[in-house]
Amino acid sequence: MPSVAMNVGANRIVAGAAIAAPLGLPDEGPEHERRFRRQLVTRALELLAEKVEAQTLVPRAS
Amino acid sequence: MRVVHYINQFFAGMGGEEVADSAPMVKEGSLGPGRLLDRLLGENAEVVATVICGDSYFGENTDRATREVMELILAQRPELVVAGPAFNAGRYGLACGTVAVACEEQGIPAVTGMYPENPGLESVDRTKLYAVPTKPTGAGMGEALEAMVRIGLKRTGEEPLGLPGEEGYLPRGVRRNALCEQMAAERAIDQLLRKIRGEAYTTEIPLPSYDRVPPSVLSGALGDLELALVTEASVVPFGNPDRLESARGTRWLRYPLDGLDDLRAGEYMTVHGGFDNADVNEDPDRVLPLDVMRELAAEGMIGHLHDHYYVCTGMATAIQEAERIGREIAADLLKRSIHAVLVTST
Repeated sequence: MPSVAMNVGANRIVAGAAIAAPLGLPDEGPEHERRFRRQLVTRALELLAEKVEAQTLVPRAS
Repeated sequence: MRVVHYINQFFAGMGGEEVADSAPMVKEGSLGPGRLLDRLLGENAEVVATVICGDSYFGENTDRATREVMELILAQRPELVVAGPAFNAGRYGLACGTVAVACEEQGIPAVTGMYPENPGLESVDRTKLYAVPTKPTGAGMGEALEAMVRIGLKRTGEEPLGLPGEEGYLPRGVRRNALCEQMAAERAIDQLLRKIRGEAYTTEIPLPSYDRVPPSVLSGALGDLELALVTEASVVPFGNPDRLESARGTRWLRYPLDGLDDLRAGEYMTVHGGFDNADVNEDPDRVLPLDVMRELAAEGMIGHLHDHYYVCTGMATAIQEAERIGREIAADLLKRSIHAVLVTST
């Protein structure tokens, strides 16, 4: 729920897949799911290392 | 009516920091600001005793000090206890708030006064605390005591105490049902029209205000740092051995990750009450991504993954509680020299 994270003032936010499994894709097979999780976590770590001036939200890639 | 007044070493005239470790004691009658209190109470009430405790003594042994202070207070058989006012003094605020709440728990009405931002307020059960807002410093003594006496006498009298805004005490965070003559739409339009006309209006539901914190900057290169996993998603060892709450969280826990490369179904689970748990229970890495964190750590993207993860429950959790949990987790991480976290959330 990125909107909640924005509202409460989190500064670095990476949108997950869904509320019930933010870092998973339960319907898309284990390999694809694992790749997806790795991408999301990698993006979050990159964002952590970036210097941000204001609240930054990385929306979910469509 | 018998009234007991609680004050610290400073207002008792004993001295400042050098005697702040004084143990609780009792003096007959009123003392220091108690003299004004006694006058304001009028003819039907009297300060029969003053209980004094050093602020450091109270702050450093809160449980013990509370017990000792309460023994002294109860021995006086008070019908009302007045604590402080503490203004913006943190330890004194903690003491006044704790004593007032302990009295309420014994069925004795109590009232205190402090600056609304006194940090002591955060450490007590606000639902049981009747505190009037004061100025930050002792310059506000007269008006503070007047307000405290007004609330104190009202609480011991026949007439029920009204709402915080009407009576002039700090909100206790308690909601009570009440019947309104007008329906919500009419009241909303009425407020809107007042707003447009530039007249005063009072919201029925004050919105919570959130902290805004400037974005932090990593203290070094990611590849050299130790990073910890934190989650609000209630991921616990299977069976929830420590009984983490499913909702209205008040606690945080940390669990070891030694020897684990993956969180497996049947070994870890979520007890979060705010979403369908099936997907996470099937594979807890879907919210606490230990598997890929191990991979990325091995590849050197981060220096090291902390050997424990932190967990709390972010479900209908009071903002005040969430702020405290966050502060406590952050303090624990800093104590362990961890300067980067990934917080996963549903």
